[in-house]
Amino acid sequence: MSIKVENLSFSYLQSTGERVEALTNVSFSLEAGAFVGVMGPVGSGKTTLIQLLAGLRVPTSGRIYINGADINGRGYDRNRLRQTVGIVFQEPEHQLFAPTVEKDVAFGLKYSGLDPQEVTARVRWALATMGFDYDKIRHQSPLALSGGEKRRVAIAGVIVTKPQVLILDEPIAGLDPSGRDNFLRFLTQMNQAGTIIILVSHNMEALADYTRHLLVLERGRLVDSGPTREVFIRLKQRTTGFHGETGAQRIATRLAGCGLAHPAAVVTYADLLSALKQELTGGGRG
Amino acid sequence: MRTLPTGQYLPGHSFLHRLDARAKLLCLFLLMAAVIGAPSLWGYALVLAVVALLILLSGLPLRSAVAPVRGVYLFLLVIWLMNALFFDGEDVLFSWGIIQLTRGGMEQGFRVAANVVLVLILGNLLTMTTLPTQVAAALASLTKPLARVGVPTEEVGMIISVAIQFIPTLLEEAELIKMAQTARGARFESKKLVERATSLLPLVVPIFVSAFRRAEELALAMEARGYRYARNRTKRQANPLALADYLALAVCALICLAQFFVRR
Repeated sequence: MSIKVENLSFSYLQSTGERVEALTNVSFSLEAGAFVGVMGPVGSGKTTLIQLLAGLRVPTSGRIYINGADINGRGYDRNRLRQTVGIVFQEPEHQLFAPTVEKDVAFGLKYSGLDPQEVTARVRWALATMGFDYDKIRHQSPLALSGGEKRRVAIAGVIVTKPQVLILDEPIAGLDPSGRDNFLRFLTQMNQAGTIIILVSHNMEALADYTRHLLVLERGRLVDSGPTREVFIRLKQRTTGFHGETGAQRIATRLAGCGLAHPAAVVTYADLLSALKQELTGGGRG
Repeated sequence: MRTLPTGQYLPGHSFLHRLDARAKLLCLFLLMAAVIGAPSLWGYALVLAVVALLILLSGLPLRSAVAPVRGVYLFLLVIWLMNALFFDGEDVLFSWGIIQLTRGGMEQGFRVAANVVLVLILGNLLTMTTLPTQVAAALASLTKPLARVGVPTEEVGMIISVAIQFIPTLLEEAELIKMAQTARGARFESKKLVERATSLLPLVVPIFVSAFRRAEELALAMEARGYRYARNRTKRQANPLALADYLALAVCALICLAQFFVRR
């Protein structure tokens, strides 16, 4: 599994006649097993990028290759794309519609060609993965569930196709801390099983702790990319533009003012803890 | 992301933008009456000239101003054909079974199609140069006398205003839901009619649920901010009609009168 994005641009015409450049010349490539974070200020083109990656919009120019095939090329099988790339939008719980949880989760398999037993097995697996007891919940109306349960059912409806690429737009916004951690751990498991994860988030801690690579967008341009730690360190040194910073980085900066911890090396709370341990056990800068 | 739909307000400072919404609404009614009452082709020519002048005065691009017509041209063609081929006229040009092409039918078809086109453009000019909230406020203001006979004009005005304001939000949400369901494998673009109709279910249910959720949230928010049913709300500012508004009304009234009093 590989994704290659070449000079991707997307613009649209507003009713005022003004052309808006949502993305400009974005290029990157991802290999199997990638866990990538996409960050940037509001309006930087993050959502547009993932919609293009999922084949939901057609780029103004540029190409997206999945396993070497141009997804916007002639003759590309859109159904195959839907089974390969799963996308979880913001507030996915608002997309539920079927009379029962089972039917809603199975919706994505409608055109998959799987036999009914396999569909049931997939639905059972997806619901179990999201922490549900299949037999208890299958006949319930998805609209009658609690907010957190609705979200988990909606995500089960996306992972049921076992996508090789899973794209998520702010999936942890609005989740309580334990729900957030459980969900991020689930993403790690999916990733370890070989799924490419693309996570769009404003949550710096989640990006720092879970992703291995970062793409930073600003005004539709890819302004930085690379291993997560390196990107966070570079972002902290930026004097203009988007300035993503983790909580640990902010604390380290404060501590540096007191002569404790070296801020440049700290990105996550684990880094901070080890830096403080080093200071307190006398192995620091002195 | 979505480009705004036809008829959506376009900010501007043109003569039409600056006119009071009440005056524009009244002018629209007068000109619509003038269109419907046009006695002859000359009558239509007069309204067409007025519409052309209004497009110039609106400062809108011609494409935007006449955009609604582009969406209904097939409908207009059908209207014209139905009238031209089935109108019971005397001046028969061609006849085959129950179908007969008459000069009177062709004229009648033209009149109906012209009525639709001109009314659509006039309505579009109003909505593209007037904020939806201003239209709603103008409606509430113009219907105020009905409050004396028990019609809840304030509430109706508020309902219209809220409904209008939610249209772009719901359209945007509909597009996002459509995209999400497409990603899950929904086939909205299917050419098979039955498949296409059933495929709308994943779109319709979430939109309705969302609309009800938003309505409930808005009702609670309005209540929390002090909105009460059947209390006369104070206006932040009172805007009397300006000279330009009266002039526009007078011109439109004259055009309307001319259509009704000039003989064919």
